[in-house]
Amino acid sequence: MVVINIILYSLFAILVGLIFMGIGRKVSARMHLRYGPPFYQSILDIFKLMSRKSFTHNFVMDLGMVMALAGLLGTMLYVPIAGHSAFISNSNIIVIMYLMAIGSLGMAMAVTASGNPNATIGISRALTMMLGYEIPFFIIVLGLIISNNSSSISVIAASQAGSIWNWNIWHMPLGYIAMEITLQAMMGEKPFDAMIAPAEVASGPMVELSGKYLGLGLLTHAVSIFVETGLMVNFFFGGGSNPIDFVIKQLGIYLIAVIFDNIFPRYKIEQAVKFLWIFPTGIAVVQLLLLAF
Amino acid sequence: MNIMLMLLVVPLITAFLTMAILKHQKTVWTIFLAVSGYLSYALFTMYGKWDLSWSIELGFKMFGKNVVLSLINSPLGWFFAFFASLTTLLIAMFSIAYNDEKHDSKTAPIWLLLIFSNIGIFFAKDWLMFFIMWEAMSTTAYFIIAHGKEISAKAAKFYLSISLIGTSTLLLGIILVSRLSQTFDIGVSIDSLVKLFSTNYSAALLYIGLFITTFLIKSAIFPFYMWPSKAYAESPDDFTPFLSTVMSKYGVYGLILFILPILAKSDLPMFGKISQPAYMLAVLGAITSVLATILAIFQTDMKKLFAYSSVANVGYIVMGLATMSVVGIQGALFHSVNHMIFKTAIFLSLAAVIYRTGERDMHKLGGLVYKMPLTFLVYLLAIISAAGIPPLSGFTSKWLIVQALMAQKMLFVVVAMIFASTGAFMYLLRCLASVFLGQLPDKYKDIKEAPLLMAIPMTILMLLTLAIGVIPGIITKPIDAVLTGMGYNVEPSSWTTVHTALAKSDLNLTYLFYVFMVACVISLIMYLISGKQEKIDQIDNYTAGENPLEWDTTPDRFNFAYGFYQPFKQMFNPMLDLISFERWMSSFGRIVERASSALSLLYTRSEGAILMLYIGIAILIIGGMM
Repeated sequence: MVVINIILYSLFAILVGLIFMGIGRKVSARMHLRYGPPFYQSILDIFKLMSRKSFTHNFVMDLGMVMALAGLLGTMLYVPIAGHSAFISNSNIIVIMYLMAIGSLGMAMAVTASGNPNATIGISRALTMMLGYEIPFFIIVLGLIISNNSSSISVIAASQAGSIWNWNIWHMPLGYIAMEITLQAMMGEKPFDAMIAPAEVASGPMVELSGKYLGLGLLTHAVSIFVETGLMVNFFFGGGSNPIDFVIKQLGIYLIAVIFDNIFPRYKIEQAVKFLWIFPTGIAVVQLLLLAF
Repeated sequence: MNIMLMLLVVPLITAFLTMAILKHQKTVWTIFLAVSGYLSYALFTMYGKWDLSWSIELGFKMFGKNVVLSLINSPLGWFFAFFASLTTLLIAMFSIAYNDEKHDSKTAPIWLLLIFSNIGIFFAKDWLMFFIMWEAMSTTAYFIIAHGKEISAKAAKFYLSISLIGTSTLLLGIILVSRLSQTFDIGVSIDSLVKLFSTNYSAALLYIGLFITTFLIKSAIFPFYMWPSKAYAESPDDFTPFLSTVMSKYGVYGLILFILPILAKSDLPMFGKISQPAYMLAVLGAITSVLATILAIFQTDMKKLFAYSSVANVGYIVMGLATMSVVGIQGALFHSVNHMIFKTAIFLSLAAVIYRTGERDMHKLGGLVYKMPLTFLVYLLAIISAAGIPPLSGFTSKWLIVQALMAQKMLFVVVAMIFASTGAFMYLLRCLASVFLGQLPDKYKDIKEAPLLMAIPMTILMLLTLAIGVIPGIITKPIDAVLTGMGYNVEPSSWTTVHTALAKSDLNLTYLFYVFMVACVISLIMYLISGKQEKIDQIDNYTAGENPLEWDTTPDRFNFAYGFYQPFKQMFNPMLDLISFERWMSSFGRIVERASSALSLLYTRSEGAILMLYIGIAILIIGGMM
């Protein structure tokens, strides 16, 4: 039973993530004054990529891509969706933080194994960026944990139940602002997309991926969008009363990120890390001090 | 014969025996393996028998009683001794294969002496025994690190001078404390120090400060974080894991044995939820792990990189201890064992790489996964564990420590912990990418997989870290005994679940493993149902299928490895220049060196001898006149 649940939840997350990506592309297109592809374009892309013949250089590439998707799916299963989850757990935040790293590790391993220096440069930037955003992210999370005396996401989401005025966004607005900036970096959107940077490192990590490897990478990205926006909903927007409510809130958060993505130019990697360690971290620390004392 | 005594006598006697047959290296290393096997077995049978002890009364008196040297089987000592000897057993197996004609370091007899003192430290009941063994450990390790190489001898000198400071403070501390408590017994001295804390706070702080200095030096905690990068890097490749995993725990053991009980029982000024000295310790641990992580990220030498990584890991352990809570100490003890397992696996797999290639600089290697897939797999699982990623064992202990820090509201310490463990990801992947992935240089086209005797211990370590990650009870059950022995009230821990002080935050690791496995299967199905893949050579993709030779060019190989985190390094350069404690220390070292060489002139040069003669005569005359 649990296994079927897990499969259904995984498919749900993938589907939602892909549709989000499609909607995001549509929104970007409209901001560019283009018409844009239909909202289900990403799903079509997946089918196309998965059915094509693809190239690999060694078994580590295959292993890494499978590991990346598995890590993200495992993470997704620990995020409660409007109080529902595939199995009974405490949905510990620290577990989620570390499980997400499997995805990064798998992706990093796969693309480094491809042997292309561009890909490795992309990975070195991505990991640097990771150190950049984990600090403010964790400080925000720490604030939430301290104020609820629990590291369970379900507890944090449940504490905001009732009216819209119970949401954490009103209780800790500074934390929300910091989280919004951090989320931009977590999703790798501009101004924090130095690791992909098509103009400098030829799309970095993706440079040697083809066919189904690119497809698996896209699926990983879709699930990561689901996880990251899902965390945001649980942390600051009350966690949603039902799954539809939850997904709509997620979409709202994702669209904010997409709009920022279209407005800003790109930071260099060291600028990005400095920015993340000064502004969001500073705001988050102020929020943490307000909560702790 | 008393089993406690046997534990000491067996390595001691074999050490001298093996010195006699030092020519037959294979035999010597096999005896070494047999001794560590015996010790592991003997220690295994000793679990639960907490009344075992041994003591000998010496013929001279102190504090009105005959001086006694004694050993006792305490849960804490057993815990460290058992896992240390298990690690040694696996390293010993590796060493048989590693020490061939070319790589032979001839250190087995001294190593056996080191194991002798190792057991002595963990089972010592009184300060005399503890100090003798501590001193024996410090000096024997010097000879192994030096192992007859010029550059290693330099590093070993650095190590020795730092640990001499440690042993001196320990000696001073022991003298003061035993004068205070009128006995050498460790248990009694804890009580008398607790009493001293209530009467004379600053004196007591000075007393434990002396001990803490010793332990921090041995575990390479800030401000003594720099010696491992020299000593670990230059010691024999098969000794480095022992140095890094077992010997860095002596300080941790000392802290748990002596400092924690004092801090727990005394009435101290508080800072938030915990006492000020403990908070100070946590801050030192936090600084250590952050600093060591940053330094590790910028290393190009793989042994130096992991030397700093070890320092960072001991920093986590100290942070866990400093919480003074059950969960924190549990996490610290758990991480001690985990560190032994995964860091041994990492160092052994790197030793296998060095054994095959003879290269220690990461940027000169690359693509070894094609030639050494098993070594790669061991390294991969070990770094997943080291990065604290579930479902491997490193996660559990880091999780426990983080939970404990959060429950005690040590906000900035826990942020430092997260910084260090995310940074760990950066340096671990740097070594993975530079050594095992990327493109294989032409000169390593013919190297082979590590030999069988190396592969066996590496595989065992890999399976151990997985097993402990899925079933944490393997380690948490013995930890229960340790915590009970320390006087904490603990519920028996379960095989699968780890508990924390925060509400609704317990975690079932076996379940987590199943969930991850199901996710893996889903992901694998996605991979399998999609289109076929074709394996092509690197160059094909690079040149879009053209043959470079037809265009009068040769295919070049590029690895992005040397300045892996260059932009990041530029951010930190000003800070690193500012805090270069190492530079300060080495200038201090130079002054000492000059002074001592000037002093040595007095008896090596004839002018010096004449000067000494005159001084002697002058003293005689003055003495005669008075």
